[in-house]
Amino acid sequence: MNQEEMLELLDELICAHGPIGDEREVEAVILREFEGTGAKVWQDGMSNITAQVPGDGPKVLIAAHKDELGMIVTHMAQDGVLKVAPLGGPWPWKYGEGPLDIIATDGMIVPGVLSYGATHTRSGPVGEYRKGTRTPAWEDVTVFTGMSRDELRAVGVRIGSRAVVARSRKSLLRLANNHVGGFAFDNRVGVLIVIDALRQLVKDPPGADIYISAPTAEETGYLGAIRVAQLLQPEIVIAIDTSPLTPDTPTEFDTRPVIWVGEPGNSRPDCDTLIRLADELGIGSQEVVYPFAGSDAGGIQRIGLAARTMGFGPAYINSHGYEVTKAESLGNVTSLLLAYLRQL
Amino acid sequence: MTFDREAMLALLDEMLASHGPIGDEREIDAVVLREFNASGAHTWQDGMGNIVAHVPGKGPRVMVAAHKDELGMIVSHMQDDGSLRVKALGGAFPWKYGEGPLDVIADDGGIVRAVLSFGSCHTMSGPIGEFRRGERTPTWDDVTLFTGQSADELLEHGVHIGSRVVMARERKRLRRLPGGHIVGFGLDDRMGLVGLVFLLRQVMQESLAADLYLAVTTSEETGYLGAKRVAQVLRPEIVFALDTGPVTPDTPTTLDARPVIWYDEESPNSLPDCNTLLRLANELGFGAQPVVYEYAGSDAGGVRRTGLADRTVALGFPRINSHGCEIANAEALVNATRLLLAYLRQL
Repeated sequence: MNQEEMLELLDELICAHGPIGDEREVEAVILREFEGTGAKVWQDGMSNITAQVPGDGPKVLIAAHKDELGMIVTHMAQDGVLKVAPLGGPWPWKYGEGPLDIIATDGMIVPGVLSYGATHTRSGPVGEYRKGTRTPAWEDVTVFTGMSRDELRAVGVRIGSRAVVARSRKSLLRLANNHVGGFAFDNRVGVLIVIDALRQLVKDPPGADIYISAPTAEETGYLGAIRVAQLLQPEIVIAIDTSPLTPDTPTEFDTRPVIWVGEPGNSRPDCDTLIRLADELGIGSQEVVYPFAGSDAGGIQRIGLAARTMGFGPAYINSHGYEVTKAESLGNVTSLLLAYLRQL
Repeated sequence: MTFDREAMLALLDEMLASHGPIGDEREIDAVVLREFNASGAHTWQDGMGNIVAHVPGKGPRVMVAAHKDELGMIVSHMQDDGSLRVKALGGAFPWKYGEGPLDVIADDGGIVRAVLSFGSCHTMSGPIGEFRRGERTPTWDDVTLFTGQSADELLEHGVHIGSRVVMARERKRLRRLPGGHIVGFGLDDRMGLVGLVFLLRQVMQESLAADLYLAVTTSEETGYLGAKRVAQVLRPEIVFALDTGPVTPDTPTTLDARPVIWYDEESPNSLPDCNTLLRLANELGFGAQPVVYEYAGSDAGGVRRTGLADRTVALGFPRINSHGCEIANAEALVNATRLLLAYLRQL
């Protein structure tokens, strides 16, 4: 894909809802794209979607998770005001007040508004925020719907329904100098990259026995990727995931793929290979040791489900919020992934 | 129907999308001037930016104020890499906005996009670490604006320290929720502006006794400065503020279609006039909510504190989430405007 095609598909991927456990919308896009390549594609009972590019070489699982951060309805008051709990690591101060989409049983959207209440007070949580002593927390937040509890139930909203930032806030933002912004780049950007790679792998299979997977529930403990690895028993696992710029790492905001050399257990020789290949491709790379980030690769390594694991992805800012990356970094990650697979 | 709800909401949507952070109100000025001039009323804009329409009469001189400034930010620092820091103008809070697109208004009125950024959550260091541990509230000092441009590029586009910043236009458009609810950033006080425009259209067809000045004021959110200036120039007897009325935990207000009568705020408003409003609201059949605000103020209370009017009174539309993504009942906009008209007619 050229860059414009990638950005158009990224826009579609980030606008398709997929809060952990209700990923129907994004699954439809991934299935369409995976099947469009001509590869053999299946969805397992846990909802993980996998495509195979067969070969005689080592069995390789490439994972880019399809779940995004979201909320789950925990309380429904009689007047239809909802309380929610986080799924994964979203924070209400990252979202701010504004429209949410609540996903009903039949997949339809019921609009709500994330609400803190009036600032014209010194009482309650808002009073504490105004004194600066409390961080807005999910227990401080209500979701206004304008409907009664009975009306909500009638349209298929109940305790356990998932909620996510409204689609109206999720369209891809184009910024100056080829920057793009949006929610859920983590990890729709990874999904985009593996779609891009799959198209090219199907046309020219490299020899390894390749499984490209979009697993669920990465944000709640890598559960989907672990299940896929249990079923496939791969030798090598590669996570393609967004790579945050944090104050406790020397990561820089540029177009070089970020290689997760410090995730416990990631294969040092393979990381070295990635670094060498990135230099040979002329795109360069950044090595990073994250004290507070994890990927499907590390999750799988920790339970002994692969001999060798590694992870890399594009650098981005504002992780778990309104994320911004450099458009050029997306194609660079695809190129590095393809170069790695072709040298196996 | 004198005040058509859908027509009012169509104008409200346009006004919500028109930027007007305190001190750079060009976009909203254009809409207000177009509407005031179209009414046929004698309309002018004073040197401070306040817009006034005059409907002459022989009775008491009445100034009705609704403010056109909205909450926003002002650029305070510009780094070489083009990231910006901002201070609040009025009572804007970053946790109300959240991360996401903002519009920086350049000198020529053009928009430069920026992203309100707290930084990555994948850390326990710095401010994010404090937020993750729940130790303190995010402030504007914790926020940077990512622009993707260098400082030189920004300067070339007419963005510099002092430029105004506001929520991105696409987040400000009017939304509808069931039950006749309307949602948007800046209902405070775009709802008041809509009420004033529709009131003006109506009173131009009547012969009210009052010598009526409809004032669309600036800088309400930074101390009622525009309304004070208009009152200094006009010397009204009565000042009436049409503003939103926040639903707060320390008042008995509820989110419904009944207008809120501000009995007390910055300073107590005129008791006889508030009582008149309450009586008229009951006569009109929709009723009203009397309220005493400890932590909210309007142009009326602000003017009263400067001794610039004999009598002041304030009327509002109840809305939740004040100074954020505000929600009101659309019918309250119609009702408050009808109540204001009834008040003016009995003067």
